[in-house]
Amino acid sequence: MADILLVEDEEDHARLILRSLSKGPEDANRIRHLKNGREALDYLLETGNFALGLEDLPLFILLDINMPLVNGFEVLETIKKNDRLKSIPVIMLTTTSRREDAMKALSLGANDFMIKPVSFSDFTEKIRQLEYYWGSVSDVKEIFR
Amino acid sequence: MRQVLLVLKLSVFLIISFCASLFADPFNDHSDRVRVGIFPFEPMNFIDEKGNPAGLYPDLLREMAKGESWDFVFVEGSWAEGLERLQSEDIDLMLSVAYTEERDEIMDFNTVSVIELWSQIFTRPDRQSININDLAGERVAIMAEDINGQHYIETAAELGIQSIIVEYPTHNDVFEAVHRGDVLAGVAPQHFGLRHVEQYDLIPSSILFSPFSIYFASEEGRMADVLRHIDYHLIEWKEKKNSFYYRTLNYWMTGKELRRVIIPLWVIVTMAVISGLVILFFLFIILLRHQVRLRTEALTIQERQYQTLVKYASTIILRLNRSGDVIAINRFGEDYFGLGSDSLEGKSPVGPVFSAECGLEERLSKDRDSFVDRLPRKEGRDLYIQWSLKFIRDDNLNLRETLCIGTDITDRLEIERDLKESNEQLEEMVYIASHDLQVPLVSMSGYAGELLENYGDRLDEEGLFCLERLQVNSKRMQKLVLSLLDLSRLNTVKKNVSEFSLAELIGKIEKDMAILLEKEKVSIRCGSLPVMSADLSRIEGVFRNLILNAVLYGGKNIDISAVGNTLSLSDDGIGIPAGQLEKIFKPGERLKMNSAEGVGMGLTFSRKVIEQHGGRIRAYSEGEGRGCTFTIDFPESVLSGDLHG
Repeated sequence: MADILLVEDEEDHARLILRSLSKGPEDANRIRHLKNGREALDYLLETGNFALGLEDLPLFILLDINMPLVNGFEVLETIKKNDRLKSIPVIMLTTTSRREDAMKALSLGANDFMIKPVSFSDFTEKIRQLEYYWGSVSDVKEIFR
Repeated sequence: MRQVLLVLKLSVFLIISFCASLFADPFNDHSDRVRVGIFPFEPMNFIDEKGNPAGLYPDLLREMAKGESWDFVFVEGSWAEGLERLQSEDIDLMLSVAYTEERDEIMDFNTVSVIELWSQIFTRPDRQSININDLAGERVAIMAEDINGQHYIETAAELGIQSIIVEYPTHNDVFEAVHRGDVLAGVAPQHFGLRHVEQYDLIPSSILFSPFSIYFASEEGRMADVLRHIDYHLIEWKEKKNSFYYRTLNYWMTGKELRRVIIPLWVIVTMAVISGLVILFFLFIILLRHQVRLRTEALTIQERQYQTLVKYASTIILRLNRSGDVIAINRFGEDYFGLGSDSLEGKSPVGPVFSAECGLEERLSKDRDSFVDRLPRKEGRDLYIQWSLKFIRDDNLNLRETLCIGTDITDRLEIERDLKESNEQLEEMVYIASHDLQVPLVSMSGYAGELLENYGDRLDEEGLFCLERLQVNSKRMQKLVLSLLDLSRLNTVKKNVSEFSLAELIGKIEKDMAILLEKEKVSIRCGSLPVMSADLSRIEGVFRNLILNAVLYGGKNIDISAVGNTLSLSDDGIGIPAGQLEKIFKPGERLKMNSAEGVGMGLTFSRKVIEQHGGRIRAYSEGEGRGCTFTIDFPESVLSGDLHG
C-alpha cells in the first residue's frame, strides 16, 4: 500500500522530493513515484495495483503540472471526475508561481498548490494545513512526525 | 488773333472809360438808376403776360448790368411815348431804336447794332398772292412813328404806289386791324410778324424790304458811358459763337430754349448719385473681373498640380462613371495593371483592375467603401489591392462618378503574415525556454538546499558561503526567467478587462506581502482610490512591482493616492539620481547603487502594462536619499471615476 502518490516526470525533481519526504516516514516504500501522467492514470484506473484493487486509496497525491503526453491538469481533471478517486486530496506541483496556473488547478479541484523546489518543512506545513481534510486518517501524524 | 484783338479793344475801352470817368461820372449827374423806356415790340422788348419786361433787349441789359456799377429800371409805354419821354428826359435810354440821320441829330446811339431787321407786309390768308402793286389805293396799317412804317411809305413812294396809311399805337393793334379787315395789310418787323401771324390768323406776304439795324439810344450827350459799356459787351459777345448774346438771340428769334437751362437741384443730386453708382458699378465690375482672373489663375495652377499629382502619384487612381465604366486611369495605374496601349476608357474595369469576386457593382451602390481585392494573375503571385471608393454626387444626390484609389498591399500582407508567424514562434520559444530553463534551475537550487541541510556540517565557512550563493543565484535566475515570460505574454495574450476597486487590490497585495513588509517595517497608506476598468492581474503585477520596488530601495513609508486621472505612489527610500529617472524603465536596468534584490524587469513590465491601458508612468525624485514618486496617468475610461477609499 502507498500512502503518498508522487507524479513527476523530472527525475531530479522526483529524487529531491523523495529525499525530502523520506525524512518523515520510516518506510520510504510507502511513497509511490509515477514517472508521468500516463503512468498515473494507468495506476489509478487501468492496470495498476490500485486499479486492480490491490492497494488502498493513497493519503494524497503530489501531481506535477508540466508533463509530456498527459499533463497534470488532465490527470487532476480525471481524478476529480471519478467518484472513487475524487476524495483523494491533490497537491499540484509547479516550477512557476503563475497565477493562472494556480487558478486553473484550484478550479479543477486541486486541494493545494506547491512551488518547486520543495523542502521537508514545506511538506509538513502543507500537510498540517490539509489535516482537517482527512482528519479521520490516523496515520498522517505518524508519517510526518 | 481774335483774343489779341479783343484784349486790344478792351484796353482801349478801359483807357477811354478811365479818362471819361475823370471828367464825368454819369451817376453823379443822374440818379444811379438808368431809366429805360420799354414798349411793345415783341420779341425785342415787351411786357409779358405776368407784367414783367421781357425780350432780347431786357435780357441783354440784365446780363450787361451784372458786375457793372449801374442799374436800370424799365418805364413802360408805347414807342411814341418812349421817344417823347427820352426827349423830355423822363427816361435815359430807349430800346430797339433804328438809326436815322434825323434821329442822330437829337440822340446818341451805341456803335454796335443789336440786330438787323427786315420790314415785311402781313395780310389775311385769303390774300396770299398779294404783291406790292396790289396795295395801291388800299388801306395799309403801320405803327405810329415806326421805322418799318416809314420804310414802307418810302419804298412804296419810290415805286409810285400810294396806299392809304392808317396808324396804330402798337404792332399788335396793326395786326388786329388787319385781322378785323379794317385794313388790307399791315407793316411790321419780320421777327415780330412771324411770331404773331398765327395769333391773328394772318400770313406773311412775299413783300420784304428795307433791312435796318436797331440800337440802344439816349438823349444826345447824356448817357455816353452807358452806351460804351453796352458796346463793350456786344463786341465781346459777338466775337464768340456760343456767347450769351447768340443764345439769347436764338431764343427770342426762334422761341427755342437755348439759354442756360436751370437744372433743379434734385435732378443734379440724382444725376450725381446715379453717376456715382455707375462709376462704382464699373469699379466693382473691374475689381470683380480682377478677382475672377486671380482666382482663375490660382484654380488653373491647382488644376495642373492636381493633374500632375494624379498622373504621377504612386497610387492607382481610377475614375468610374455612373454606370461603372472607366472615365480615366492614371499613369501609375496603367503601368501597374500592364494596360499598355489598350485604353480602358468607356470599358468595365472588372477583369483587368477588379476581380469578378469583389462585387464592384454592389459596392458602387453604397456611399463609401473600402475593401481589399484579390486580383488573380495568370503569371506569378496574386495581387492584393486595398481600394478606397469615394462617391461624387450632384446637388440632387445622383451619382456622378466614383473615384477609386488603390494601393498595392501584396508585399505588406506577406510581411505581416511572416511577422505574425515569427511572433508566434517567438512566443512559443520564450514560453518553452522559460519552462525548460526552470526545470534545471529548480533541480540546482533543490540540490543546493539538500547539500546545505544534510552536509552543511561537513563544510567550512567558505564552502557554506559558496553553497548559499549558488542557491541565491539560481533563485534569482528563476525569477528572471519568470519575468521574461510575463513580459512576453503581455504582447501575446489579450487583456482581460474587469471592474475592480484599486483600494481592495492594494489591500490584497499588502496582505500577500505582509511578511516582507513586517520584516522591513514598511507601512502603506492609501488615500481615496478609484474603481478601475482594467486587466486585474496585470494591474496587480504593476502595484506589486512598484511596492516591492519601494521596499527594495529602502522605503519605509509608502503613500498611494489619486488626484483626477493621476495615481501616484511615493516612498521615502534612497531615491533615484536625476540622470537615471528614465533609464529605470528599461529592461534589465537596476540601480547599481545598492544590493537590492530584483531582476530589473518589474518597471519594464509595469510601463508596458500601463501603456497597454493607454496610460503613462513617470518617475520623480528629488535626489539620492530623498525618496521617489511614481505617477501614473490613466485615461478616463480606465478610471471609471467612482472614488472610494
